[in-house]
Amino acid sequence: MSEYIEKRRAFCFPDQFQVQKYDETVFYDKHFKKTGKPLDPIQKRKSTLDTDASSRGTKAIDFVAFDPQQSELWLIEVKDFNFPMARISLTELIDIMVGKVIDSLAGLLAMRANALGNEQIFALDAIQKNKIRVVLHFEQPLKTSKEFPQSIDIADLKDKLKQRIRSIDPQPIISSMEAPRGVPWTVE
Amino acid sequence: MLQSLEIKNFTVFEEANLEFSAGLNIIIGENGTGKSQLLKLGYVFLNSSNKDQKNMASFLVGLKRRLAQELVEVFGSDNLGHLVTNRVDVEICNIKMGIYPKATKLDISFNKKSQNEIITHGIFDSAEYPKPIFFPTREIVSIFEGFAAALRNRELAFDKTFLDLADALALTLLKGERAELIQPIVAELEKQMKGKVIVKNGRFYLEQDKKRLEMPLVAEGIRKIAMLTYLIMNGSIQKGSTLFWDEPESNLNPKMMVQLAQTLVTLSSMGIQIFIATHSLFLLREIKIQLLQHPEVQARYFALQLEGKSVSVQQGDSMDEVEPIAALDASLEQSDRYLELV
Repeated sequence: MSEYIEKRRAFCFPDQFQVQKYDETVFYDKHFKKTGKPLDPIQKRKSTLDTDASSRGTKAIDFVAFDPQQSELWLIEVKDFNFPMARISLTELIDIMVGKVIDSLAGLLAMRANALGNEQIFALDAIQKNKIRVVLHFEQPLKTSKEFPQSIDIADLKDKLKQRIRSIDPQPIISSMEAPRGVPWTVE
Repeated sequence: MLQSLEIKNFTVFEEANLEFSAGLNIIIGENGTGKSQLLKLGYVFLNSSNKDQKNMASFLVGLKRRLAQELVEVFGSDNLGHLVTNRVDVEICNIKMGIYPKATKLDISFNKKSQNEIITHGIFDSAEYPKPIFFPTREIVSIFEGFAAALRNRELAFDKTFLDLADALALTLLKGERAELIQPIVAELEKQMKGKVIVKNGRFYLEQDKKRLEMPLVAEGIRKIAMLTYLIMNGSIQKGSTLFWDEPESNLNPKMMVQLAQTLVTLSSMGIQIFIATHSLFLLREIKIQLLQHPEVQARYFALQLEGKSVSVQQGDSMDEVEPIAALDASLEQSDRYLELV
């Protein structure tokens, strides 16, 4: 098992898995992150105040992973609403997730062409996969009530994500520690 | 069965081209987006253009008259012209209807000044099919006794769909082979109601354990199922029929909605075309669960959205293909509001 920490959770992937914390790759962090439309002077001034990712360039999914023997490429985003600071509106959450998936797929293609060493090999193998699986690992606030046995109905979130991302993955997964939904890794 | 509607400048619809499934058609949208109007329009067109007359010449003459009269009576407008989109630059409304399996379309228009004058365009070769059935949001088995006569003889605030429904309920039961054919679905519905629907002296009853319960004393959700059951038992709803059902979920508890979804999909699989307008995310999900178990049933989804003063329509073969799903967005927004407080 190989273990990666994200948002204070340990993601344990099977040994054979190839995993990248995509936003920590040299290619993304030093190069692709800044890719985007050239900033005009007005946007430039705004960008010093604005922390919105869209004004900084491209966005990144938390994990890109695959089993070399299988056909799926896993794009995994982690959100934990137990931390109030991490909370955003659910529509915004889906918007951001969709943007990250699209940017990361574009980033993998550029990584295959322009990255160096292991990162290029990883991207080369990742791009070969013929099935893209999108996973939102989502932890709900633990505090619940009778009216809201779950603060968020996961079916709502899944339906909304499907509407937006079905041309990439018609069956996106929303998993959690309590309900892993059959993903091939574990979370502790 | 209704195959398509092309609508131009009719009430809230400036332009909408809809392709329907011969199975289950689901219309979704907030209040005021024209869901019920769409159901009624489909009903009126299908009801008026049924080729139930042998003489083709009299059929075509009668068609325009029937269509104009039905539009006014079902929509409850003072005259036909009031159904044209209320915009200064719009004068004429145009509607084309396609039916299964015919290739020709009924193409009509009328203008803002029309009292009851309709113009037809091109050739329309209709077909004979069972009369369509329209279920309003409330049932009528509890008020059936004398209801049709009252509607015919008095000015009452019920549109013509109520009278048509009362007439359909007035038919006597099927017998013999045809009655045997429908027995499985009738038995299933009787299981849901825990009783049988019977009519005595023009009054509907639910017979449970050999006791007759007057329909007004039965829960409204059960009364809706009773109405559906009786219309199947008397052949008003049969293979080849089209059923329009406005908000079937109203007055049903979630448990009954599970059974309702099952019934809708079962009826579709029996060759009955169904149109529903719904606000219920719970019902939509139950239908999805049923459709996954009945891949033979073709579903079609229509999401209506008010844009300015006009309504736009998105359509697709699954709920994922259309936006907005008002109930889904409302549910997500409710979670957001709750999360702000906990």
